[in-house]
Amino acid sequence: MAALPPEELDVPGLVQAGITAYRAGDRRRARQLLTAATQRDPRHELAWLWLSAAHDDAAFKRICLEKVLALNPQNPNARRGLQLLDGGAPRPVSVFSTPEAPLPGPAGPAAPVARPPAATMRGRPAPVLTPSCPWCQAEFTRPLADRCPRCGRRLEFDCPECERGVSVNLEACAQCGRIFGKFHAEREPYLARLLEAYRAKGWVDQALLVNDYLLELAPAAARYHLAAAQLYDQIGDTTRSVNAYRRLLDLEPGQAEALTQLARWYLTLHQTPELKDLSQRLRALKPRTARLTLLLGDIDYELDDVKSAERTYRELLRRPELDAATRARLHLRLGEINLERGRPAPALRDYEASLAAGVDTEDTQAARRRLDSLRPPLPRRALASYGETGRAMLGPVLLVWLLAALQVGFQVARLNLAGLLGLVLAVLGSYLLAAAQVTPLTPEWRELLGEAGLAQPVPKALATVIGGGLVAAALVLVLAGM
Amino acid sequence: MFIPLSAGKRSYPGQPWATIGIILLNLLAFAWEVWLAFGVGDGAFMAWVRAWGFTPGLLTRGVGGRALTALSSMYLHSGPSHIFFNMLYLWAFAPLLEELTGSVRFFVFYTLCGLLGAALTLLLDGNSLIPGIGASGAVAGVMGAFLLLYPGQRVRTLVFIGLPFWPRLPAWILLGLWIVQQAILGQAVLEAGFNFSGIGVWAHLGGFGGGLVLATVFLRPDVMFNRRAAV
Repeated sequence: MAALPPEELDVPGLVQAGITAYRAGDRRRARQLLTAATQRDPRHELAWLWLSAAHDDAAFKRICLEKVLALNPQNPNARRGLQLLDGGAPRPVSVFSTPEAPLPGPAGPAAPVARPPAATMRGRPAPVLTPSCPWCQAEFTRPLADRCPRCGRRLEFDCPECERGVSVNLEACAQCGRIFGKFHAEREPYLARLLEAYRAKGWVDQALLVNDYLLELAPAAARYHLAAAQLYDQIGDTTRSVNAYRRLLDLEPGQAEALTQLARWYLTLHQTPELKDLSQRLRALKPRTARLTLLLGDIDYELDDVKSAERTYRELLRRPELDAATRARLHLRLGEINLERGRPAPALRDYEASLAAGVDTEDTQAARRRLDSLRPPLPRRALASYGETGRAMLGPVLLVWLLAALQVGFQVARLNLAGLLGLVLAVLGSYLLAAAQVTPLTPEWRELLGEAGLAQPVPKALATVIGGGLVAAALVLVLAGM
Repeated sequence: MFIPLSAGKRSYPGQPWATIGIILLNLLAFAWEVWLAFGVGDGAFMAWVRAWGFTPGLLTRGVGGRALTALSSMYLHSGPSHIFFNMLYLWAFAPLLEELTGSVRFFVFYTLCGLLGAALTLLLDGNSLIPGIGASGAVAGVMGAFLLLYPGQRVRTLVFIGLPFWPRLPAWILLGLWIVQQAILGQAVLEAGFNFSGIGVWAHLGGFGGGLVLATVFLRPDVMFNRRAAV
């Protein structure tokens, strides 16, 4: 029941869940639930009574109890509670004071008036009240919620251990006992520990919030700018991440991670002036790891210093520790460089080497497409291959034969002499076309026309014209002769 | 509803001339049809479609000179949306395919796929006297070849599921969905005994199958050799 979100509960349910939470020691949730109950039904006497018990602040307790008495002047628990308050805790309460006597609460089923606060029961220090904000030092007569109403800063952080809210006035979590330290005395170490704990847990939003406070306390601390950059990067907020890296570089101009991350970002955006600036600083970094070398090569390539990029890539390829994907990428880049410099043969070799790396990445796909589109000169065995002749013939032959089949409605009996002649001519014409255009070096043509076969201009043109003519004649015979 | 918008850029400079030519031919033919319908009137458009649309029943009955209509019908369309979607699909998939085949081979391949679509229509719906028109059989062939040659290529697709989205879907999902849809429609038509859909489902299936089977036949020799070398 208590696990249900408050919006799914009715007022009696909220009150019951609040009481259960209070008894379980979860005063924060009890406050939330009972406050929700009183907001929905301001005349709910029991809700006000238990809310007075759930709150630590005497002033707030008084308000709650006065509400109870306004609704029911005869309520004995509220009367007793107010009497205890009048004779007990002073108003307003100082920031670091500890209540001298147990504060009053409703004498409901669990008789919380008679019970000590939950934290005291566990042998831990009782919660310190927060009538003033430790951030902006503003004084308040009313109890503060989890945020300061004036400066809006958090007065309560989630415990990384048990995920319950822990007031900054506590040195340890009242639920699980995790030690937080003294917030008022040493805010930065307190928050730094919290930041590390949140990061270890992967609670990026909370870590960012704490990191913001840390940056406010120590704006020149590079480590918090680095943390901000990494956290924003983690949630995909690239702009803020980049800004944090920039601020980090302002503080530490040689910070390696900031330099490399910014360089990658500028590479993606093709921002060459910024890359030029970073390039020099990146070159000063030691040690020169494979990743850094690759980045430098990419920057050179982006800055059109192709020679330097090529040198860097080749140097990198000599490193044995390089993984296959990086190897494929480097060969692709080298292929692009060679192609840009008008050297298609080495470009082809590099693209082939990229494919030979044996991985399936975007780089190898690009290398394959480059190879496909480069139209490299065919090897001699391809120009003399009967298989290629057959493949090249298949298109025109199928075209004519399929038209013939359609013309006779797939009824072979309707095929006449003209049609048959058309089918034969299609084969002959296709053969001539294929030989002239694709495989001019097959043995019969070399025997007939010498070593260059049909690759010679005049025989090639003649074979093309005759072949094309025969295919055209075949089409006419098939379409008009049957 | 899935509408492919773009299958990516060609990796080599140059234009897909065959694709552009085919689209221009279709547009010219459509302009002629529009003129017949609105300029001439008196059923001139329908007479034109009856004369040059692909009517399987006429071929089965041996009315001569009709195979040419299998070619001509590939360039005729029944309305603006018909030609728009056919040309959109063609423009989305054909340029990358043409890059691998070359323009002349692509044109032959495209024509052959259209003819294979017509052939399947003739075989499965041979008595129909309703003329079929449209480039969809040939375009389906292009899609089949694309599926074979670029299965993992991301295709920018307009998807309507209440609201429009523009995801980049892998080709195998997009084309797989399309062909499954066509196969289901084909099964329904077979069970009904007549084509109630008004869609050239056999042309689509024949063209698509033809594209799948014939794609490698029409690849340029250097592409074939590169691919063999890479294996």
